[in-house]
Amino acid sequence: MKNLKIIKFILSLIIGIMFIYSSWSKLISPRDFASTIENYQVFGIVLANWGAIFIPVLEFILGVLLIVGFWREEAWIITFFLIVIFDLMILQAYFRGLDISCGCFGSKESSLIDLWKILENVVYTSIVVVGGYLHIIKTIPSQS
Amino acid sequence: MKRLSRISLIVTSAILLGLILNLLHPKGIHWKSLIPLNLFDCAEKYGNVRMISADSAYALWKIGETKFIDIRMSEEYELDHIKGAINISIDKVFELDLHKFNDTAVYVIYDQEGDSDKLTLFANHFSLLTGKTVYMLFGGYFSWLGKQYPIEAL
Repeated sequence: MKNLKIIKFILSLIIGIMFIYSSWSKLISPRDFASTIENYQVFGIVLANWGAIFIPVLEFILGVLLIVGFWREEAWIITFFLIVIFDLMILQAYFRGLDISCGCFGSKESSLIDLWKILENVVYTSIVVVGGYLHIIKTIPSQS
Repeated sequence: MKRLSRISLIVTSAILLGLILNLLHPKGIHWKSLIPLNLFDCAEKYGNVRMISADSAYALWKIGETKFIDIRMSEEYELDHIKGAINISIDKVFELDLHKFNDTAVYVIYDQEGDSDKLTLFANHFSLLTGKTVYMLFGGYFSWLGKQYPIEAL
């Protein structure tokens, strides 16, 4: 039981730090991040602008909530949906052959979307799925 | 139910906090860029104007499908401007030789920061006069410079 608590905390810490780190450069230059979102060619510039305003703050809040442990279950649920949206964006860009940088950790990040980037996201998604499972499913009391 | 309301609270807080931070940010996104351009406009009165990011404009420029119109002061234009851009001041928009723009190119209009009323006015009039869909460069010349895309001086 104690081991499970430690694992849950470590997973929260990993995703929490990752979110706070990735939100930072996006908060500093929202215009660049808006361009990054627009490059995915899914949303127009207006929706991209809203995303550039909203996503970094949400990432920061989620990061803090995950680390501090306040409303951690709710934070895991939102994190799951957020990471799924990120995955879908990256996958569609890859399959459409868009020659763009991911911008996952801000616009200064220059790594292009390739199989390695997809693999990297699979790892993040796996951590979120396991973390979410341990925090939400495992905490629901059984009916019997 | 409790969980859902907490989730709503987190998301709403992020939107509100994001708007406040953006408002306080010296290089934040202009509020006009958060509203669809022709949302409150009458179709007959205004032209068809959209926004384009520096990256997308550059991608089109590379394949030769974009023409840039620089509406900054001529002194600023002479100092440096997007490679191939032409300079037209706002007061010249009604004196344009429209035959010059009778092509299939995508016209991208820019000013220094991409958020001036002058830019919107010019873009709308240009679109009306030429009947084209025109684009305003999001973030203006600074965004193009920031990406280190090609520029030239006179």
